[in-house]
Amino acid sequence: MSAPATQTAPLLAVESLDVVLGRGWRANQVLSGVDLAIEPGEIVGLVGETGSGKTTLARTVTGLVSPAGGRVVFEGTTISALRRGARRAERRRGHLQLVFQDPLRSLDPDMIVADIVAQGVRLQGETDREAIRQRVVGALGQVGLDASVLPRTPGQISGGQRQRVSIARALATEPRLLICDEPVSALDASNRNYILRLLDQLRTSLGLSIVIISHDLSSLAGIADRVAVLYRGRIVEDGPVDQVFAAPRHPYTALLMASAPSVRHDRELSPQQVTRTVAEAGALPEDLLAGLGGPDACVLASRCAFAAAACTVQPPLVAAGDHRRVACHRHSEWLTLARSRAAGGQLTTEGQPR
Amino acid sequence: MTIDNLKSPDLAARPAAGAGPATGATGGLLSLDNLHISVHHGAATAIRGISLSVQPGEIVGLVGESGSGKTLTCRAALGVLPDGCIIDRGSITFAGRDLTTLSRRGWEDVHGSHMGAVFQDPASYLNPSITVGNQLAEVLRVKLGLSRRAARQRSIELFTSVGLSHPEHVFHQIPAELSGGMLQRVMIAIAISCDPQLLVADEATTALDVTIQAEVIELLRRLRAERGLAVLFVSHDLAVVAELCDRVVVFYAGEVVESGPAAEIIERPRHPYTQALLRVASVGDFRRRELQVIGGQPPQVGEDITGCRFAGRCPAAAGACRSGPIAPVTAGTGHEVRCVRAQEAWADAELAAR
Repeated sequence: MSAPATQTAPLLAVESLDVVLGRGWRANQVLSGVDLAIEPGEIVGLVGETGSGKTTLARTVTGLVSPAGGRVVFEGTTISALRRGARRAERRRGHLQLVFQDPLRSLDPDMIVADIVAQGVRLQGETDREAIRQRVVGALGQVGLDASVLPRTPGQISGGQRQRVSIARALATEPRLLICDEPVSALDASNRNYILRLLDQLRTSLGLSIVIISHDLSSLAGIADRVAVLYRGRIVEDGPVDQVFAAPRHPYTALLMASAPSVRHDRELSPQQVTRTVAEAGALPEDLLAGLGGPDACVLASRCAFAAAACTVQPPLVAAGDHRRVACHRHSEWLTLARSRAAGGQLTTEGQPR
Repeated sequence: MTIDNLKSPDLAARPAAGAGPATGATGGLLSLDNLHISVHHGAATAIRGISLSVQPGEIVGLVGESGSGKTLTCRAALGVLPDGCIIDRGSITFAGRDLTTLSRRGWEDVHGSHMGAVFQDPASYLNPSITVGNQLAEVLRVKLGLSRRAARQRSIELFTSVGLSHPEHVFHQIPAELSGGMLQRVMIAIAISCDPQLLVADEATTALDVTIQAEVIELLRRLRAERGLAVLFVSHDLAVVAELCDRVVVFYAGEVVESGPAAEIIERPRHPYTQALLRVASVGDFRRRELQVIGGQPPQVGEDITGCRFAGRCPAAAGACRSGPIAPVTAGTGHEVRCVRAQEAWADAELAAR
């Protein structure tokens, strides 16, 4: 991180991480130069659309995917460099836990809740049955579930309870960092808020750091301290959540905010004001258009209404004010341009093909 | 399970909904009148006297928690109730035709040609090994009897009209090659291929990214403007419904608790449940705030409750709420509320506090 919030070492540091999935002609660079630090006791929101690399980042941090470049440092250990026994030992410690999106798919449908939650504790080497039971009941208590769910399978409890069980499963190993991959996107609004509030309480009561991957910006604003916006494998903007949402410095953040559904119709910008229409793309010089679609161009250049000649080269993520970073050549100009664009008009295409 | 016989008279005796296009069951493109549906072969009544109507070219939103009966209502209207679900009472009329007594041949005529449907997970409704173009062309050839060439031509026109760029290219792609937003557009293209009067969209945007969701909502608006398409739009998020719909029908535990024009429901919700839904919805502000939840659990499906089904969770529940069936009352033009205290002072105080 360019402007560390504290002098202490971060709990998790992701340094210029590159991830390539697939080999040969199928190789696909999913993350490019991702830098991110998570401080102890902090909730960081990670937002971006499908395919932006949010889940891959979570999987790389937890060691499920190997990076092609860069490193992941957790509690002072470069965990991305660990191999074999050392890596397995690190995993068994359970200090870094991942909560998956869909508990119906990530939890074994044939196992009962008691065994699901106990598994991590057993892997830590605990053998005493009573001690395991206490840890399990304790973890379930932390998420507001009582012992009555212990003998049930995931199919026999409600969706909100299932997600709480998968959080309890992660908590049972007493982690320092919890990475939640879309923990609420399968839930209705009331259950969503319940889970988010629960995570906020756990941060306070257990001193946990939490990374929440979500595309629901409005609810992230309710609990996160910082937010990092990912687009096509790059962090395009990050900073304190209130500052980023009060005044986004990257057009993509503005697009996400403009697209978020709202009960009131009082958004400052509409999605149409920050995306390029087909007509506008047609009016651009052909060589510029080709440059903006090229491999070196800014990741957003193919959609951005403000893409100019400079944007044919990917801008670096640079400091922009207190604890904020942005990767946009035109971060000081685009907002004025956006306001001068018509609010109405049609959305053009379905975004970029995958 | 004894059906609550006391419940029906008040519904039948309800005054004919005054003037204007009220929620009453008369007229309209689709109208459900006093619909009762039981699940598990009659073991429990899940839908208790739903009445609603959709006018030609109107977008009606159904909101409520999971398990409130929104999806079951849609499936009944589409004639695709799951096994064991029985329509006990009531009628479903579509363009003057009674759907509850329709034969299989009759349904074949209605499906696709007059009524289209899109669901939450587009990938699971498409054949993974056939190009999306052929899946659309097949519908056109079977339903409209088009030649291979004409069907292909028409498919590409439809792909263009739902906003897919490079439709000729998309025609030859299989579902795995397309993103979620593109697949949902393909599903919408299939659903509207035979120019139906009604599109049933059951959580059609729930699984999509916010940017794509905004585009699909925009697309539905445009289809309504261009083709006069009526839409029955189901969502658990009041914010999404508020973005798109003309009228909102709020479901709670198998009953309609409030219905009326969307703007009116958002500005002046009269039912405590609607007010609770509004508090938990994505309000669209990006400030740090206390995330609200709706306390308590909804009643079990089929649970017999005298009086208001929300009373157990309602902050304003009084004796009158539990003493007998609650009849809907009119709270404005086309605005009906099933709450005995809707007109009392506390509701206004609640509104003032917002």
